[in-house]
Amino acid sequence: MSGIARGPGQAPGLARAPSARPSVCIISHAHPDFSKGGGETAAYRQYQTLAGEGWRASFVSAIELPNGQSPADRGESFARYGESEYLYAVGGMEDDRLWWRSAEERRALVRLLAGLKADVYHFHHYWRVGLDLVAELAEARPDARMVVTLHEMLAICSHHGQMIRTRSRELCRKETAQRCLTCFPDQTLERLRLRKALMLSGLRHFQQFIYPSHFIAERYRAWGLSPDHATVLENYLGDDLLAQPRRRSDSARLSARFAFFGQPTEFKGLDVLIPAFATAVAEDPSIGLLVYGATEAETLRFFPHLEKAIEVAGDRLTFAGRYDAADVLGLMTGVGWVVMPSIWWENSPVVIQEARRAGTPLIVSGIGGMAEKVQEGVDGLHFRAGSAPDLARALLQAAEPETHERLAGSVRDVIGRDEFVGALRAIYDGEERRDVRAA
Amino acid sequence: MYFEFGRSLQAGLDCAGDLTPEQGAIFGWMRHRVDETPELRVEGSPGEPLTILLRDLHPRLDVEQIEGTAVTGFSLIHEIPRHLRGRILILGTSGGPAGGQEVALDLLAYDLPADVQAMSMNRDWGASYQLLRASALDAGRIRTLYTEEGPAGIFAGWLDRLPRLAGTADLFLEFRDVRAAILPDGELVVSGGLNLADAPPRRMEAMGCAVVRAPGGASAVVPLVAESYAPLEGGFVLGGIVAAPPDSTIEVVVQLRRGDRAWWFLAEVSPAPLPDFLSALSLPRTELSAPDAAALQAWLRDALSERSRALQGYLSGMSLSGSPAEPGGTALLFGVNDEYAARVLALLAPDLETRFSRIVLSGAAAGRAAAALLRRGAMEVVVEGDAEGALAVAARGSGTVAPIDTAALVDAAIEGNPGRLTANALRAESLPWIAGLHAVAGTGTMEATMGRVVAMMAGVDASALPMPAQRPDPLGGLLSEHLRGLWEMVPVTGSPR
Repeated sequence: MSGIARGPGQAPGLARAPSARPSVCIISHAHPDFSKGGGETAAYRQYQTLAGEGWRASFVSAIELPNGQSPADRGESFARYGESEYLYAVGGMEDDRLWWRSAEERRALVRLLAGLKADVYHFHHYWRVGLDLVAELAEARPDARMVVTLHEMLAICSHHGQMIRTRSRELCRKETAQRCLTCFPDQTLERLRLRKALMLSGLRHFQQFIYPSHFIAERYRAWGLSPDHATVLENYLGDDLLAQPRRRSDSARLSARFAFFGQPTEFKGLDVLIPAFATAVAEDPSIGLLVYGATEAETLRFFPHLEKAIEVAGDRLTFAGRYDAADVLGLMTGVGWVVMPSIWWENSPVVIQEARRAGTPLIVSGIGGMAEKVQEGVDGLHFRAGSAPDLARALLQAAEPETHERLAGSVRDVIGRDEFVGALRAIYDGEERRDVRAA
Repeated sequence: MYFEFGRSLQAGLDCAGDLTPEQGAIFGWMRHRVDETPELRVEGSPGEPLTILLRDLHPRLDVEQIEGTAVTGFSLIHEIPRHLRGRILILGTSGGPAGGQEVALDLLAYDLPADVQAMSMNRDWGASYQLLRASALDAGRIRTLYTEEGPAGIFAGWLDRLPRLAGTADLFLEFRDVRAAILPDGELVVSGGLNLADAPPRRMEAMGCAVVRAPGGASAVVPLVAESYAPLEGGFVLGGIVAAPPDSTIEVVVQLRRGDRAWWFLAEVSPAPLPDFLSALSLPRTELSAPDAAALQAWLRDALSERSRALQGYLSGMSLSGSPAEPGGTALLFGVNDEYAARVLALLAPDLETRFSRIVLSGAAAGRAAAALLRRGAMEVVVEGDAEGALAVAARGSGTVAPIDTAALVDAAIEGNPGRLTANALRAESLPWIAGLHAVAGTGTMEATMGRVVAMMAGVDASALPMPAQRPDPLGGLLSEHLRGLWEMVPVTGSPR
C-alpha cells in the first residue's frame, strides 16, 4: 500500500513534499526494534506513516543498552540510527526515568532535538523522556508546537499507571491523594500531592494532548488536566495491517472458536478465561479455545491454580505459544472470537484494533478502554470484569452462530491512513478538533 | 574554731575574711537553745556597728545537735569602712529564758581561716547555695560574686564541684529522665522523676539561680524570674525565666530539698523547641501517683495560664498580615525536603522568575532545586541549611517576602496557577515576628511554624491546624490547649485560598 521501509536508517516510504506540511519530530520512550510495547509501536507507525506521506519527520527514541552502555561508538549519549532516527541513552536519568539527573545529558538531547528544527515535537510518553526535558525544549523552541499522546496513566497512578488498588486489586475509579495513600501507605500525602504537582506541571508544557480513547481522556480530565486542548485519536495500526484484506467470517464454522492473544500476566485475565472456558465447555463440548502468546507451562507458572481447569478443558483448550505480530490478522481471522478478559482498564488495546481490522468480533471485560472500543451487542459482547461465570455465559452466548453472524457483521474497521494523517495535521495546525475516530 | 559561752550558747567560726577591700564575710554556726533565735552583728570597735549586707541563717546538719538545742549556720556579709582597725563579732540570742545575752569575739585575735573562696568550696552545700542565691538576688550590693577570683566570685570552686547535668539524662543522681531546657526567650525548666525506692512521703521543694555566660566571656549569676516549682513527692519541676544575651550559655544551680534529703547540681539547659519544653514541664516519662498527678496538673495549669497572660500582648501585637507580593520581591521557599518539590520548582522556574527577583530556599532538597534555578541564571538564589537561616536571610532584604511552603507550592502547581504564590507576602521587616512567634509558640520545627503562618494567611483557622501529639491524659490536654490558645492570639491575616 505505501512502500514503507523496514530497516533502521532507511527513509521510509514514498516521498511527497508539499511545503506547507509541518516538520515533525516524534519522541518516544522506546524503539520497536528493541521492545514491542503499544506506545512505541504506535509512535513508530506514526513516524513511518508521516514519512511515507512525504512529511519531513524524524524519530528520536530512548534506549537502555546492557550495562548502561552508550548507543554511540564514542560514548556520546545519543546516536544516529538511520537517516532521520536517533537513539538516546537514559543512563543520565533518575531511577524513575521521569527526570534527568545529568543536566548535561539532558541539555545535549535538547540541543539535538532543537537542532532538528521541527515545527512540531510530538511525544509519545514522558517516562524515559523526562518532564524537565519537555520543559527545557519548550523553552528552547517557543515557536514549535508541543504535542503528546498519552497512551497510559502513569502520571495519574503510581501503581504503574494501572489504576488498580495495590492491596485489594480492585479497579480504581478516581485518583485522590488520600486514596493513593491507602495504596501506598509508606508514602505521605504531601509526597503524593507533590507527585501530582510534578506531573501536571510537566504535562502543562504541552500545547496539545492526544488520547487514544475517550476512557483515558476522561481519566486525565478528572485528574486535572484541562480538556481544552485534547483530542481523542485512535492509534494508527500501520500500513502493513491496513493493507491486508478484510474477510467476512464464516459464522457457522467459527462461532464456537475462541482465542486469547497476550501474555499470561497478572492483569490480562487468562486466569479468568480458562476457568470460564472450563465451565462453558462442560455445557457445550463443541467450543474451543486457542491461547496465543503463552504455553501451558508458562501459564501454570503464573497461575498454578489453573491446573484443574486446564485438565477439565482437555483437548478443547490449546496453547499455541508465541506468535509473530505480522501474522496476527491471519490468526484472528481463523477464529470466531477474540477474547480480552483483562482485569485492568486497558486504555486502548492493540489486540482490539487488530481484531477489528481482522473483522473478528470480541468478547471483552466491560470496563475502560475495552468497553469503549467494543460495543456491547453491536460488535462484541461484554462480561463482568474478573467474573469467570459471567464470561462463561458470554462464551456460550457467543458460540451461537446467529449471535456471531449478527455481531461479526457490524465489526467496525480501524482508522484509516488518510483520516489519521488528516487528524494529525489538524492537531499540528492548532485546529479545534476534539474527537477523531475514537473507536 | 570552736567557742563555748556556757551551756546554752556555743559557736564555731569557719572563716572570717575579706571579699573585697570594702566587704567582709564571716561563716560559722551557733548552738543555742531550741526556743531562741540567733542574733548576729559585727562592730569595727566596741559600739561601732558595721553595716550587715547579708545575714543568712541555715541549718547545719553536720554539727552535733544536743538535746534541747538547735544549730544554726550563718553567713554574714558586712561592710568594711575605710580605716577600720578591728572586727568584732557579736553573737547573741533573742527569745527564750536566756534571750538577750550577747558575747563578743574579736576576730583579729584568733587565727581564723581568711580565704573565703577556699572555705566556700568546703562548706555545707546548702549554706553555699543559700549564700549564692542571696547574692544573686542582691548582686548590686553583695560582692561575693565579683571578687578578683573571676566569674562566680567565691563560688567558682564550689560550682565546679557540683554534679553536672548536660541537657538531659536518663539517670542522674537519684532522678530519672532529667531534662533541662530553655526557650529562646529565656523561659527554662529543669525537671525529673525521683528514682528512690521507699522514700518517705515528702514533697519536693525546688529552687535555682542561673549562671549566665554571655558570648565574649562575661558571666553573671542571676535569680530566676517568675520562679516556681511543682510540689511533688515523686519528682520535681522547676520553672523560671532568665534574661540573657543571645547565644549565652546558661546553667542553673538547682537545689532540691525533700524532707531531710537535699540535692544540689548544675544543669546546663539546652535550647529546645516549645513542644519539648512543654513536655519537660509535664514529666512525661514519670509514673505519677494520683496526688502527684493532681498537684502537677494544678501547678501546670497555673504556670501555663500565667505564660499565656504574659504572652498575650506580644502575640496579639504581631504584624503578620499577608498582602500581594510586589514585583521583584523575594520568594521564601522553606521545607523543600522532597526531590519532587525541587522538580516542581524547576518546572515552575519561568513563572517564578517573572514574579520574584530573589528566591531563598531551605530544606533537604533545596540544593537540588537551587541548582536548576542557578543554571538558568535569571534570579538571585540563596540556599540556607534550615528554615531559621532562610527566614533570617529573607528578612535582610527589602520589599516583600512571600513565604511559600510545600503545600502552597503543590496547590499552585496542581491548579496551574503560579500567580497564587504571590497572594500572601509580608514586608521583610515583619519576618522577625515569625522568629519570635516560633520562639514562644512554635509547635515543632521552624518549618512547622512558618507552615502554620502560611496556612493562616491563606485563611485556614488556627484551631484546624494540627498540634504536636501530647500525652493522652489531662496534662497533655493542658499542653495542647495552651498551644492552641497561643496561636489563636496571633492576628495572622491574608488573602484566603
